Amino acid sequence: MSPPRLPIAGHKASLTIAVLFALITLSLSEPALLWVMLLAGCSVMVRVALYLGWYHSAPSVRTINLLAVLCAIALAWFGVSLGLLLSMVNLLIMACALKLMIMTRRKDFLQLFTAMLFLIGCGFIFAQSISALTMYLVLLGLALLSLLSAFAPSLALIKQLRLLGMMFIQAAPIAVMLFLIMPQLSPLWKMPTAKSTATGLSEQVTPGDIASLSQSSELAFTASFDENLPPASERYWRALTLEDFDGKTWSVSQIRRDLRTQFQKQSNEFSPSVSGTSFRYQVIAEPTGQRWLYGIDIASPDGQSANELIWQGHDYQLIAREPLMSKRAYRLISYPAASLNSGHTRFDKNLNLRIPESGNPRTQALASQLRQRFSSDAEYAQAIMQRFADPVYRYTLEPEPMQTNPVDMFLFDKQAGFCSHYASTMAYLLRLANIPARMVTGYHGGEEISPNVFTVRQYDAHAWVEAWLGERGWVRFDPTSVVAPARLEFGLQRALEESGETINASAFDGLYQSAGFTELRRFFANVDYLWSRWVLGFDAHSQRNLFKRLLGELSAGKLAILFVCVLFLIAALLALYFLPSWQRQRIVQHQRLYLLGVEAVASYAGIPRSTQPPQRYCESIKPHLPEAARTSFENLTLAFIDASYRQRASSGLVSEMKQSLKQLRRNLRRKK
Amino acid sequence: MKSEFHAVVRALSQRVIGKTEQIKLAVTCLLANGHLLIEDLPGMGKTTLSHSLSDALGMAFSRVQFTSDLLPSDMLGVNIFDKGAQQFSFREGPIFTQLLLADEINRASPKTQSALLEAMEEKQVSIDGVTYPLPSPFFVIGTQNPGYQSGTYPLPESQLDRFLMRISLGYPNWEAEKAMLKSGSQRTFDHLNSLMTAETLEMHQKAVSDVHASDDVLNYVLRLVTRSREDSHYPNPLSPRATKALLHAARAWAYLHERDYVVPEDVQAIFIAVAEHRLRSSRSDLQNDDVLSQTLLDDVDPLAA
Repeated sequence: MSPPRLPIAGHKASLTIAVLFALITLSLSEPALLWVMLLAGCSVMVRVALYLGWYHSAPSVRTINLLAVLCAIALAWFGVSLGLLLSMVNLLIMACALKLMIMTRRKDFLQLFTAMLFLIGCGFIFAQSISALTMYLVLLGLALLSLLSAFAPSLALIKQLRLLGMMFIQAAPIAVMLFLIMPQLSPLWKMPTAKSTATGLSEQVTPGDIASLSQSSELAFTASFDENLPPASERYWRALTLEDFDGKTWSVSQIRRDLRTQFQKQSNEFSPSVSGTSFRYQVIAEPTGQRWLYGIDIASPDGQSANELIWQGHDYQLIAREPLMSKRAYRLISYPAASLNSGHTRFDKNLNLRIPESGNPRTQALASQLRQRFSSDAEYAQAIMQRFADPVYRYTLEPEPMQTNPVDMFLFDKQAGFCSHYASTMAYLLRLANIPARMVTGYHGGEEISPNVFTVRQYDAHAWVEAWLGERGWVRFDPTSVVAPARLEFGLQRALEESGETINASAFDGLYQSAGFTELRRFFANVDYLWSRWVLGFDAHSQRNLFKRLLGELSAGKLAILFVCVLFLIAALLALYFLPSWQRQRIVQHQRLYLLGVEAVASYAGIPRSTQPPQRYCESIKPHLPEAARTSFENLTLAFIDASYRQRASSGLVSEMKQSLKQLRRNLRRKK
Repeated sequence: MKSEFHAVVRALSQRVIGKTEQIKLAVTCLLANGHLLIEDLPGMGKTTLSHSLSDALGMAFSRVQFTSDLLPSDMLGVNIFDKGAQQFSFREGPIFTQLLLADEINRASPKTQSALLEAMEEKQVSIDGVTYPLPSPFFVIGTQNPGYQSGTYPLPESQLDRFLMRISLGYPNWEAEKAMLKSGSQRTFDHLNSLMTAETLEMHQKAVSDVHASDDVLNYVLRLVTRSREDSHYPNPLSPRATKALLHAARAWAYLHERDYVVPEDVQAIFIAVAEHRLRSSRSDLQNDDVLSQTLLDDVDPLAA
């Protein structure tokens, strides 16, 4: 007998799973290849057409097989450059699409359903935010709904939803327990090397780049301080130190990079000498696909797990050992009062004096002119800051392009720009005067979403200057602070308002700035932070801490007891949920035993039961049975009647029936 | 069988010879507190059966012969002006009894039929705005000639539904008829001794509701009625009232057989009597064979699939 075919037209479960598949594929649009998505789209169309009854039979297996072979070849071709994980995700989507086209049996449907669960799991590799969680929970609900409507098509939607909700609630405690006690394994695969479009800062800054960045309100990272907060003016988050300047572009020095690689091989990590007040905090960095991390000078990793994650560079930069492909939490300790004067000072100085030989003549002239007036390095630097304090210099996010001799043009002609322009110009002027200087990019400020917790967004990006001033080491100068003091005190918004610009000129600005909206935004930022902190950040380490808090000092015995307890609890919950249906099964078991007995006597006597009730059948077949078998079949029938129709505890009946059945079979065999 | 009822059935069997099964069904019907419809050709013993039943169960008996000119007031009663007292007083009709034999119910006009059926359902009578309760217990045994006889108004389906059971006595077999001839006709003289009081009967009726019907039995009943609704073979599917009637009759049958639980055999035993008249369509030519309900029984397996 062939398995039952699913109805095609108007089969709601098939349509639901097709819609679900379309949604999942859309949510996976980042890792999925374009042609795979097209294939998925086609399959959904096929299914919709079948549902609406435009076509009456699914594509033939032969067509799909041919398509599958072609797709497999194409995927193998692309897979070489994609890497294992992405190829596998694409393979799964492709297979689902093909299956969806030929789904005709319930077995196919169940396979597809299972594959959908895997796809939803795949989604979590690429997005773990709480909004992604909500979306995937909804998709999961939809998947279960399609399963439900496949098995109970006549159930009203509202009842299906209620059942679904009940099951979700029942499953939740088990999920929480499994989440807490399952060993936290490290992933079996490597994430692809870089995101296609890197967001955030960049390792190269040509003044003008950050203009686009500043307008993005995407989250960069969240920081939560244990107790002490650094003063608002000190919240300079260093991300990158740019030491190479070619007249236009600042970039991370290749020499510095090579040196770092060498040090890493020797595990010669930089440990700056620190003193003074300190504060501890945790940073949860959003994925960037890059390796730089954020910290307030002088920052060093706090604790063993942070040490394993972070490499401290000799330029005070914190570098992750693995690129940030997903949210990453780390703990830091910062000493804001310590001087940045340790390390390979001579090397640093030489590296930060390099200037291009030609170009920007007017700036060169200005530098030598200033240098003659101020022989002290500190005074010289102060003079530059003074110069920027002149109101002819404006702060703007929409500077005009400056192509040739950009520093000259900026300094003398345009005189309007944003932090990178000022930082770049100042560092160049310092270098011209033979003072080691470099540009630092990172973030400044942030929004306090709950006490001691800050979110820093991309529009908080900032650039400033570090100059080497003898004993004091690297000293921070922020030319933007004199050009647009509001930028530093109140953030970008205020600075732009003063210069008559807005971040994103749109009709919703009023709404966006209203108190209620700000409150709401803070609330969501806080929820997202808590989610990252406690759920995504729950790793093997925090698991061990949890066990310690529960059990005191850890030992193998205690752990074993904990696991047994939790397993027992889960089993008890499951039993609680399934007991009613098990009891129903028990009665069904009576019937199964009885029907086995009926089968035995019917084949012996040649009289089928057809639709006779048990008692009457027993009467009618009794004369045709041998004496001993008669009694045992009678017993079997009576026990079955007791179990099915009588109001009586049916505990011992199953075993009684089993025994009668065994006797009956033996007696019948003996007579044969 | 419960000994009291056993005696009743035995006594009745001596009156209506060779029809034990039908007698048991009739007793079950009364036990289930339902009205009984006996459908037969004239002279088959319908009246004898009902008369003996009322005697044996110790109930007040009255009989109305339905004719086409019978008015509702002839049956229910009328308000008569009493000259002495200078006011109207109500004179009860023959319906104020415990067991009413409505003979040849299909000869009466629809108006009278529906007055009777209303009284059967409500167990009370309203005349000129005053409501008079009928005695308790109250049974109606309706007899009906098969519809193809001339001068009859067949009961519509909606009213047939009010009768819990419909039985048909049929011709007696050779021996039974011979025994009848030997015993001679003494109906009018021979009053059957009452074997039970009306109060005891009511007590038994109450006990019937306590008979246990397991989920399997309920499912069986539901499968039967669902089948009648899904299969276009049945012109009149069984209503929820029929479902209730089936279960209650099965309980009464089980009670009669001294069981405190219902088995599928009970359902099958009463099924034809309870279901056939509801399943049939009056428009189709009335057959006396119980085809429809028998097919239904044969099609549905008492054990869950």
